[in-house]
Amino acid sequence: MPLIYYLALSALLFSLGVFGVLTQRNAINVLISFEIMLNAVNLTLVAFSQFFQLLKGQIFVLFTIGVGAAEVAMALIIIFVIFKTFKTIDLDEIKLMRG
Amino acid sequence: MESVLFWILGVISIITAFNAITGKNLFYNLLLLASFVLSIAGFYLLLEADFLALVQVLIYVGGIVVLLLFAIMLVPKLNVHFTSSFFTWVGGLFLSLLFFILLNLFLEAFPLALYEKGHITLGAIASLLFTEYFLAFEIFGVILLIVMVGIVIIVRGGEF
Amino acid sequence: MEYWVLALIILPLLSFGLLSFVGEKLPRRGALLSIFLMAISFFLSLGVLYKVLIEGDLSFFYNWLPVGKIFLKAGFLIDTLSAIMLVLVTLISLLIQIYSLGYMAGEERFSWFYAVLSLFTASMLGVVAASSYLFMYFCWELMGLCSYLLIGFWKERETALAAAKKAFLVTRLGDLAFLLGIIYLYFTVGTTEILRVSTSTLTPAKAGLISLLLFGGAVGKSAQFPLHIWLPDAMEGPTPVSAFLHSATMVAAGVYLVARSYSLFSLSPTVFQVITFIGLLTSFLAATMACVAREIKKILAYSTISHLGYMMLGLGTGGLGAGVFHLISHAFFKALLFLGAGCMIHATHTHDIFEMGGLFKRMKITSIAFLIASLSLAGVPPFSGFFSKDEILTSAFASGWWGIFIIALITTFLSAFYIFRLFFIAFLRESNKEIKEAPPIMTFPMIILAFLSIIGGLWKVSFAPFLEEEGEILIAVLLLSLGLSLLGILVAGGIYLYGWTTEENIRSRLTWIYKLIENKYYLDHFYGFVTEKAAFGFSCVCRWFDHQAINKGIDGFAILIRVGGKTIRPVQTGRLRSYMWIIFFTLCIILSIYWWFTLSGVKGG
Repeated sequence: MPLIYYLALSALLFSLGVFGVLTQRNAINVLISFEIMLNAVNLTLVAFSQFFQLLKGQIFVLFTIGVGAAEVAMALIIIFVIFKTFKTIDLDEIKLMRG
Repeated sequence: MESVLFWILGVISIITAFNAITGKNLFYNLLLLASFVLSIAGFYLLLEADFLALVQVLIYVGGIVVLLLFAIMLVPKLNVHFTSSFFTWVGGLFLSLLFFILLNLFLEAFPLALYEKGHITLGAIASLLFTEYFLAFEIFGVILLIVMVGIVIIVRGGEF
Repeated sequence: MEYWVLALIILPLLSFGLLSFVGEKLPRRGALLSIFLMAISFFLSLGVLYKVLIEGDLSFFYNWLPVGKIFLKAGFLIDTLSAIMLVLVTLISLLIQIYSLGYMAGEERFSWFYAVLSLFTASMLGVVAASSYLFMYFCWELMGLCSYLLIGFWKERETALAAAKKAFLVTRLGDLAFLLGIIYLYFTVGTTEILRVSTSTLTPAKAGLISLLLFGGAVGKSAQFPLHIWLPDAMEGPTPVSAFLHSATMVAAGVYLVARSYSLFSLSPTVFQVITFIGLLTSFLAATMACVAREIKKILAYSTISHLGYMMLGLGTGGLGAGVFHLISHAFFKALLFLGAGCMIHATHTHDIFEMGGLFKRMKITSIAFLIASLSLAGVPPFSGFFSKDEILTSAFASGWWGIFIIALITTFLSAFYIFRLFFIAFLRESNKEIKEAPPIMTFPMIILAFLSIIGGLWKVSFAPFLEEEGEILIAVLLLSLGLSLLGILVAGGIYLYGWTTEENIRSRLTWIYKLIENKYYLDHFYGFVTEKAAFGFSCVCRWFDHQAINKGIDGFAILIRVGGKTIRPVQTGRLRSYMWIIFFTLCIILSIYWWFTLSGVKGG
């Protein structure tokens, strides 16, 4: 398939992820959208890697996946802590600022 | 053959992604996320990244999604959906659309493949990983370690 | 000869410098040194006069101030007129300094007094010898400063300080006109050298404007109407100061200026008319004010103003020689009158003539000297005042305007009247007071001046050839002036000596006239009113500006910051989602800019 199809698809998926991040109120939904974004980027990288027949892209993706996993774990922990503090994970309610 | 697969996988990925985001039940969202990831893994296979597809399935489905599922199973209160206001939907739609258009502006028509195939193998990955990108490899290990330690600390309430 | 001129100007300056720093330590607190230097200056000036009479005019200059590429020059122009003035100024300065040894004895700031007197002398000599208007202006201002210092010499007196300020400010107005005239002159002619100015080509209109502006300076310094108000108040200063500055020299500077600029002034016909008119008005008004005053020095002050008006009248009607002659003659007798007044005040401890009396019996020398001066002022031959006044009247008659001549005659009558009113009341009335004659150190200068008043008239015979205009003696005018002078003396004698009527009587009949004159025609009130309104109005404007513009400006700035802060605060919501929106929106903007400049084909990204 021409590279551009992959790129376009990836752009679409990324935009979907952005849409999710911007609109969702549940923290975990936001996390899910974020993962979608991440995957879209990975797709771009792998597509380019195949296009140029270089391995750099794939190795990069390898690391991205790994770090993404670690980051999800951390995010989850933070969500737990927030849940304990604010008794909710509604992003609109979680703020210390007043006014 | 290849293009058919591309289109099928493409449709699957888009639909699952969209539903994963806008679904009302967190459980279903997570399962849909898993499906999404699987479709991406399919893409990887199409793009000669077999090892990567393997890693993707293992880690994403076997690690991340499972983790999240455990999380919401253990704390059911998390499984709550909040609806955003209409304006939020519109604004978000607008912004993401804008973003998409902008991204498209950078697309140029690339030909099918630049170089001859056959260079992407598992062995090549391995050798690269342990020579040129060794530092990144090691740092990654450190990151994992730090994350584990950090989680333990936070779980214990910040004290040792 | 240049060195003589330089020397005779620098010597007083040197005197000023020395006395102001080490004056106290010198013998007699520096007065002797000052007198000695002034005597040298006097003899040098005599030498200069002699040389000018024989060899002719002299002028020389030095480069003074660098302005851009050219130098402004300071120079000296010595012709007959300046030479005579040099002699006059140094002589009178010398006499006054001798007199002050006695008068100002025991004064705390004795050295400073002499120092400023010397400085004044130097600056007056500078004015007289200057070859350019610019240099003259420089010395002119210096004279004003010295006048200010001397009027306010007794710093403890509030009235003296106020008088000094008034003198300075009023003459400042005149000086402003003077300066404007100089500037305009420079821009039209390109130089302020007196010689070159008078031979340059100027349209009558421009010459007229410049002349009137320069005359403005003379109006201020010579106390002409309407800037005459400072001179009566200047009597707050010590009497030697009044005798020197405010009768003989500084106030004559304005007359000198007019005489100097005669050829410039004659380029425009209206200038002389203005000068004549103002001179006439001044002399008449001042004479009336002198008739009703009670303090001796005030009477003499008004008399000075009146006679300065006379000089201007003479100059304005074409009698250059007459005006200058009267200047010299007036210097002698007026200085003498003031010195005599000083002796009288010293002896009787009062300024009011009605409290004095019987001085004739007890202060013979002073009385006789004073009498001589009074006769000279009144215009009685053979004293110099008669000749000079006659010349002016002749000139006024020759102008052809009957009104001027008649008012001048009336003023002559009034002059004789007021001075003999003073004399009769102060000297010949009965009194029982214990009065001593003045010490010789003070009477000596008076005798010299009396002598000069007597022989001054004889100058007229030899004086005429050296001035522009030769006075033509008209017998009728001569008899008229003489008759009016004698009439004035007679009337004064009649009222104050023989009791034909009393002053109270006249006062009660003509109260409104008396009130008007005594209040100096309410001119002071007018000035006060105007300046008060102007100053108050201006300060109101300033206050408004300060409140509205500046305060509001600063406050507005603070308000701007506060309101700005309030408006921007909602951006920080603390909610994750709004931050995400901002981030992605900015990202979109960056992307679009990036696209616009790299890929959209727009050049120069």
